[in-house]
Amino acid sequence: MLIDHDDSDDVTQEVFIKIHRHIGNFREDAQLYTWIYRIATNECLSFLQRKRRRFFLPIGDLEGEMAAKLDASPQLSGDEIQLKLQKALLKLPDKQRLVFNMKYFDDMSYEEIAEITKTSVGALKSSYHIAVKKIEDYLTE
Amino acid sequence: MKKLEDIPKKEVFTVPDGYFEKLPAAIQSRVHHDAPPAVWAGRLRYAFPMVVLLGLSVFWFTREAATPHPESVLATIPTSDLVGYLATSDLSVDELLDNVALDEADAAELEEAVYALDLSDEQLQELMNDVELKGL
Repeated sequence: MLIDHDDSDDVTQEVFIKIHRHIGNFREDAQLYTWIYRIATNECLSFLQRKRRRFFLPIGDLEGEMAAKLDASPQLSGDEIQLKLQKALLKLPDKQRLVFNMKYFDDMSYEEIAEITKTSVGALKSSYHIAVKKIEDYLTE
Repeated sequence: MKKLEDIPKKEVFTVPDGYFEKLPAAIQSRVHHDAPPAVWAGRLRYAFPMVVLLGLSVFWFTREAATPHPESVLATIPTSDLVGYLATSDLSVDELLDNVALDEADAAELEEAVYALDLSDEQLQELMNDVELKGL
């Protein structure tokens, strides 16, 4: 979600610190995995929001910055088409990109994604379908 | 038209070597660094002003107690010295009485001492005979 390794490292640590602080509040009305994943997704989305606000970047600029990191990142493996797919994903709104990643790369079911994101299965299916359409249009350009 | 299903699914992001081995230590150091202040420190924030107020109150009231009361100071002076001072001062009887806070018992005792005549009829008659009644 964050592309940059340092940002990802920062947020990963923040997620585990939050788990450590709030584990007492875990109500066991959901699986621990779901609870942790929810913290991670919220931290990612919050981080991206703060990054935009902090640098007064309109959405397009942050996308450009992250696309540039894709090109420069030593942690990236994969061929040209994979890189193009990742750049296509950056064109999606953050939450739509999140849902796409969870469905496509993590092979999660809509029900699991719904529990984590507190969104209905129907809305998720619609979001994923639109995301796939946008990506295919970008790849065809 | 390129289809998503035509693209081989591959995770392109890799993790640096040894990242997960170092991660617990990094998190531990942040947890200790961000540890919240001890509960008692929060309470001390409220206790300290109260202790200061208490100290000031004790100081204030003991300071007043240390200041001697005027009547207690006067009580240490011999009556003859007081009488002598009053005789030579410019204070009139009325001014003196205005400034003296006499309670009813003190006033009655003073009146008794000044005005009460414990004389028998014979003694009274003798006195009247001795006094030259002028202008009567």
